Amino acid sequence: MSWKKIRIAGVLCGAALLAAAGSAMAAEKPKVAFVPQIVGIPYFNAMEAGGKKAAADLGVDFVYSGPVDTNPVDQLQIVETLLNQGVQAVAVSVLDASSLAPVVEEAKARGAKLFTSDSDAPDSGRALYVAQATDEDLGHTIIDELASRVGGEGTIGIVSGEATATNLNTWISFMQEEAKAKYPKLKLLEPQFAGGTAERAAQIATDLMTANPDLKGIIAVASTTCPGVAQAIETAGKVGKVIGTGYCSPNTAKPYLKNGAMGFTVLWDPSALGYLTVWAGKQLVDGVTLTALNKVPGLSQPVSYDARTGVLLLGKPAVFTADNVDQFNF
Amino acid sequence: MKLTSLPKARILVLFVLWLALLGLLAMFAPAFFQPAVLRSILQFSTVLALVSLGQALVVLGGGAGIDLAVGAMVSLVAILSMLAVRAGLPGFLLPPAAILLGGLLGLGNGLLVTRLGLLPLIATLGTLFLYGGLALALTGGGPVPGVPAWLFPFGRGTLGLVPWHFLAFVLPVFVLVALILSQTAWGRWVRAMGFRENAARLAGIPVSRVRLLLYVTSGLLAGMAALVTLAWFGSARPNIGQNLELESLAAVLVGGVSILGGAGGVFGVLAAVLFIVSLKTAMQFSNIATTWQVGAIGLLLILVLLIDRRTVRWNA
Repeated sequence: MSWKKIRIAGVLCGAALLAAAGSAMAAEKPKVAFVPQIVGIPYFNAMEAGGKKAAADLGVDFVYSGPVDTNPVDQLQIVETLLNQGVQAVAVSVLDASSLAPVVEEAKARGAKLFTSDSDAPDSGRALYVAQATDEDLGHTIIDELASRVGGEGTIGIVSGEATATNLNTWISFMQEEAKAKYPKLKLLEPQFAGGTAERAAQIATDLMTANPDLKGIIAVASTTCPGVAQAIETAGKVGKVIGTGYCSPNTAKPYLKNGAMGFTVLWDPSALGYLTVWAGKQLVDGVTLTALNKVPGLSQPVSYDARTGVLLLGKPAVFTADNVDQFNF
Repeated sequence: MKLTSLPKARILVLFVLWLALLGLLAMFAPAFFQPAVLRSILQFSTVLALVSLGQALVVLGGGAGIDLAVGAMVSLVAILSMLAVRAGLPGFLLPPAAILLGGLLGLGNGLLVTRLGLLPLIATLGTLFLYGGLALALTGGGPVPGVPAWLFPFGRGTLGLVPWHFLAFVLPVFVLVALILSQTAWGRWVRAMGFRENAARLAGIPVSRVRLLLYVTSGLLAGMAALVTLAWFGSARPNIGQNLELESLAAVLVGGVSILGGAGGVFGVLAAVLFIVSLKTAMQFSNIATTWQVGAIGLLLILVLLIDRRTVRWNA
């Protein structure tokens, strides 16, 4: 008896499908969606806010939807549904690069644009990648900013997270490259690795200051090491003598920027990234060919586009200081 | 209370829920009814359907049977079989290796429950963390790429609107298990021991052996599910099976299987799997935040069980 009912349901379902299959969707405004890696964290909330602002400015319908856990299956399901909804351009902050390829095919078959933002899947066939900042710029900026604050000379300590983290090591190598090329009197100490804990970072930072009384600055490379490094400078009474810095989000760094334990931090502005993502989606829908340098209304600097790699670059990293940190919330 | 009243009542509830969902969609989101959505629902149903079938068998067998490790088994099988491929396992052996590995992990669960006499809830909670933790530890949390490309059509291709893995795995195993449950002595044993374990033992049914086999079957099905994820995504991910334990349990209960064992059928479970995936897709389609979707599954579960209680009272 139960089986029969399920069969009836199946038939009804099928009939409904057939009846509605022909109904086409008509959208007045172009629809652009962004799928983050996870919803409910400040970083992606900031991207959403930027996307909303761009949607209002550009006359776009903006959909923001992402998984509750960092689960690639859920993310893929969301992307597929957005395509089925008739969204013309879908941006994804990719969780698993290899899982994107099948939906890229699907998007192409539907005439929709699938592109990546914040995290890329280079070999998936995506339309383009909206990148936040290059590793090179992140490495160079922190050294340039620090050098200008210490007068181009002095000893600098580096506290990183895991020794195996590729992105952190890349940033460190670009720091070393910049220091060597531009600031011969700036001495970068060998990086110390704190793993994932703030306590260990505080310990290492304290030891660095004890071992090097002439230390001028400490760079917290992993975001998890930011509070530890800043607190160590505070506890050692070296505020003003040692400049703390690193790749720290404004919300993490705000108290330390305000009390001087950190001079500045470097990262990118996720709300600008969200803004650029929606702008890029609009260009894809409109079929605009991007040029090497693009003026984006709403963003202060023009954005560069590399047609070979398909990377649309937000620009130089943002520098957060005590003066501007209150404008950001992530 | 009759033995069959409970599943029947729940199947009726499921049927009403299906109608309500389709009705609401027809009214508010008619664009939902397009072939691509049906294809998408089936595509995302396979993994849940396979592990839910295993879950259903374990629950049916009674003895407080539950398999919380289904998702962790999917994750660990995916990781282990890809590590094996990287270590030199010939690609054509990947499918049997994955299914076999799943069976072995299921055997682990079964031994804990039947030989060591651990409560299934505790035993499989333990292996949920053990298997899941191992999958993360072996990879440091990152994916393992390198699935042989010839597997992709199986994970991504369709026949008409129906994905190949749905045709090749889901339909055959559900029909096979339904036949075994209804036509063979084994099937009758499973229901009998789920309904009255002591009576089953007295009747000479090898309860422990059957139960061990049920956990192994759940593992084999998790292995098949893992294989589907590999062919679909092209890489193994250590958290690919996340949340499957609760979703499969929801599908089993909504599908009319009694949590106490003994009563229920597998096609109700398949209908419930399709309903849960459709509901999630429909909510997604209506731009309801994903954070609500998790809650909706929980609400659905409570709703079904509530209606169930009322029905049981009426019948009693």
